[in-house]
Amino acid sequence: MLQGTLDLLILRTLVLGSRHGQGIARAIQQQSDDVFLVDHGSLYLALQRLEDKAWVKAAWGVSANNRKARFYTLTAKGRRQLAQKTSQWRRVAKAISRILAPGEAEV
Amino acid sequence: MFWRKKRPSRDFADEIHSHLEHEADDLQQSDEKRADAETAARRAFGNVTLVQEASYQRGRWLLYDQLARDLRHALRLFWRRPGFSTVVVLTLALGIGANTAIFSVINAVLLRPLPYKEPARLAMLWSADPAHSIQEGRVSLLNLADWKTRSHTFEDMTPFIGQTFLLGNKDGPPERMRSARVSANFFSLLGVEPILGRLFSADEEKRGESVVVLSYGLWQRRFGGSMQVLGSDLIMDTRESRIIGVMPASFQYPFADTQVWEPMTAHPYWAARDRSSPRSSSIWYALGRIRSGVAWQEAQSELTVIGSQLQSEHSESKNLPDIRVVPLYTQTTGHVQLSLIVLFGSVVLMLLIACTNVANLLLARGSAREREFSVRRALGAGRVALAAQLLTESLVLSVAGGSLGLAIASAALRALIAFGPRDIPRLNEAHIDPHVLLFTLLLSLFAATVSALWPAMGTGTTLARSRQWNTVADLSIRNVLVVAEFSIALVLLAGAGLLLRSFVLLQSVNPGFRPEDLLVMRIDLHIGKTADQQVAYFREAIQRAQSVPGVHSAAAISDLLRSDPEDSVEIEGRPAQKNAPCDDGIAGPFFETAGIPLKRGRLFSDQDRRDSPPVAIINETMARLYWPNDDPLDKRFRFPSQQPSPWITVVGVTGDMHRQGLENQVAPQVFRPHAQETDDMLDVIVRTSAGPQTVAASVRSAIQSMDKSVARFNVTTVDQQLGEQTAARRFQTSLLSLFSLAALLLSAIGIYGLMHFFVAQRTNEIGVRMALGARQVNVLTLVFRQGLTLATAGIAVGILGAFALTRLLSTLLYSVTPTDAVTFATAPAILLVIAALACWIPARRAARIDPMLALRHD
Repeated sequence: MLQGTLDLLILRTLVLGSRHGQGIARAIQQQSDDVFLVDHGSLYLALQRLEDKAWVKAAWGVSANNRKARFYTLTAKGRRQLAQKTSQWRRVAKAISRILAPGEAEV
Repeated sequence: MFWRKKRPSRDFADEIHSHLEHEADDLQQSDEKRADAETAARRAFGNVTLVQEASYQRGRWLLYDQLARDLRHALRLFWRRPGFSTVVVLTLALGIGANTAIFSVINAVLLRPLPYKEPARLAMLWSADPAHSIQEGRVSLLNLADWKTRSHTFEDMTPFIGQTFLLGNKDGPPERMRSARVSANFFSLLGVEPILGRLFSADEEKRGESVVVLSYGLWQRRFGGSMQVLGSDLIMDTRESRIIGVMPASFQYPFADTQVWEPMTAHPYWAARDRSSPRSSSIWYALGRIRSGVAWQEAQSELTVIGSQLQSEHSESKNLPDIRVVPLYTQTTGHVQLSLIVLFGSVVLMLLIACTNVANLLLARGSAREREFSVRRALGAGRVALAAQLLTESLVLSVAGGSLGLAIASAALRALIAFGPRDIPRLNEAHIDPHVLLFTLLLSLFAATVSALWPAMGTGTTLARSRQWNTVADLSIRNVLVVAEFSIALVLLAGAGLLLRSFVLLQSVNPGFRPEDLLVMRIDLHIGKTADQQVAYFREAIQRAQSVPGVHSAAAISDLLRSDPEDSVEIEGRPAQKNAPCDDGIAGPFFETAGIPLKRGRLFSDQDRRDSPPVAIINETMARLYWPNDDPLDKRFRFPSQQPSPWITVVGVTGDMHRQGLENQVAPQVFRPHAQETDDMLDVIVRTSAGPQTVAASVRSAIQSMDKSVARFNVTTVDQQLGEQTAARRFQTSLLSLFSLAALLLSAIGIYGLMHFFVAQRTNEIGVRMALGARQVNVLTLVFRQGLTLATAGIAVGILGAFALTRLLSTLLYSVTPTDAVTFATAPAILLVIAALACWIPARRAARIDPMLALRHD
């Protein structure tokens, strides 16, 4: 997975509401049709990074399975970042696909 | 943001645990057993510990963390090896201490700017006449005035001159002091201000007002530092001058003992002599300040042009044609620069040896700790981490060494100031200031880096290899270190040897008189006595001194250990010549008292009076120079520059006496009876039969009681005065010798350590050899060959280095060349002997190895 992509995916996952770490991993995996297999270790380090940057905030709560879990919520700052990063990503993706398939892009 | 409150590791671990539970829940839905699900979850997660560790390290100041750990480790290590640590710390302390002490001196003498405004723009201006080898001649007022008006590169110039005066004491004889006669712009040119009162103005100077500015010392000593001093009178000789200001303690220009500054026009000499002095009357010092942005060269070439202009405009006067600009910094420090730099160089070399030794010790211990490093490496410590640990260890050692070194330095500095020669300017101001502290800190860091570098490189490159290879690689690094040590030690030893030989040669110079048991006191009658009174005074002083018990004989001479030649001399029947002898008046039995033999003719007698025909006794050098093929007795000569200048008849010839210092050649010399060559200031010399110090006080009071108006004087021994002449040389010689001795000792320790290690490593091999029939001699040879080969290699490199470096010493040497064969033969011999001695103990140990024990050893 590209550096920085994981952050973006995590933020995107949290748009619809707070989730715990394992939930985020599962969500990314399912929503990408199992294309992205999230490395769980990296996920938690990334979450901590985001927390340090105050893009997400975390609180202990109880999960649907009735287990203790740490829930992550998007902050206002995180939301702004998501918007910015998403558009940035789109631009990059478009550019790359143009380079990879010049013919198609022309159409 | 490492200052944010950190998330506890426990919390993170809980989250991971929660994750694994959830993961297991998800997996279990597909009908697996709980235990299997948990295992699968864990497998899916990967290395839990690694992630936890990464989380711990996140946001922490890792370097600090590691440093603290390395530090703890190092301290624990040294605590457990007190012997090793002591040797290393002491070695470093010695090197750092010596460097810090010498650097403090250099800082005070050479680096600290002179205490004036923009001192880099100040310069002394001299008249010069290269044709007569006059480099720094004084200046006449008329010339200086012309220089000042014509020069564009100089902002200002000012003349000054030293004068002495008598300052009365309430009780006891008056004191002789030095005053500086200066112009009003003297102070502004230097950019100094008084701490009390004011300075005199140009108007006051023009009117020749009797006002004075006191030195801080005189103010404290005579006026108790009272504020009321302003406006009161200072009586210099018989003149009354109003005190208008006090200078700060740091201001001692132009002379270290200046007590008073007065307008140059206020002194009686101004009206009597100076105001209308001719262009040839070059008796003034001149100080100048160049404009900012002007280079010295520019200023010098401008003044050279002005000098030659003036020379052609005033060709009729006996003028010194050239002008020399000498920056004030060079003027004050030039004569000590070289010897201080040499000393600094040698302590740096010494520190290098010390570092080499420490590196060697660390290396030796490094190979002993090899197992520890291998284990740590295997457990995942990176090469950088290991190097950092070694660096921390040597940092701890060198900081300890540096602190101890600082203590050594401050003790050494006190000794340097107490025993150092007086001609090193501002030496007494040397102290450990922030600059010195910074220097010491940098030095300690340098020492740490250098001594950790080799061992760190050793562990870095060799860990992957087998144990056998490792020790060999170590050994070769250590060989290089020992070779380096010996070569540096040789350079130091050669330098010290050259200086030492110079010193010994100088001491063995026959002074031409007997300085032992000889007292000398400088008596200054000062102004106010007629020539006859002067003659009478000294005649009686000599008689009184002779009557003191324990005194053998007494006499007087214008200056015992110093003399300047006359301008010119005219030998009867020949034109006047520039190369002239010195001319001194003597009173009493001078030659007998000083112990100078009379070679021909007669001594002076009471018949040689003021009104009798002028007579002279000359020395052998003069006889040889002026009458090489002739008998000098009854020949006549005169000094055209003296007024009057009668013909003087030679009546005797004496042996040569070194009066201009032992290092210089004996100058041609004329002695004349004091009655015919009167002087108000003479050195009275007294030969004592007992120890000179015991009779000094009684001689002094015997003379002092004669005339209370004569200034207080001191009595010293001639040996002491001669000692002061050689003080600078003794200073640098003994310091360099001390440093090279330390270097010698350190290299001996170095090679001893290496050979010790060598034997320890080869205990097995030696055991096998002995079991196979090698005799003790063979084993001894093995060790000695190894050690002496290294020493010889070092010495060979060192000789090359010494050849290149001792050339720098050449101006400090006396009658030896920088490549003196004796020194260059002795120094290597000494080093070889030291190396052999240092190898002896390990070699003997090797020879005594019991083959059986040795073979079971491993």
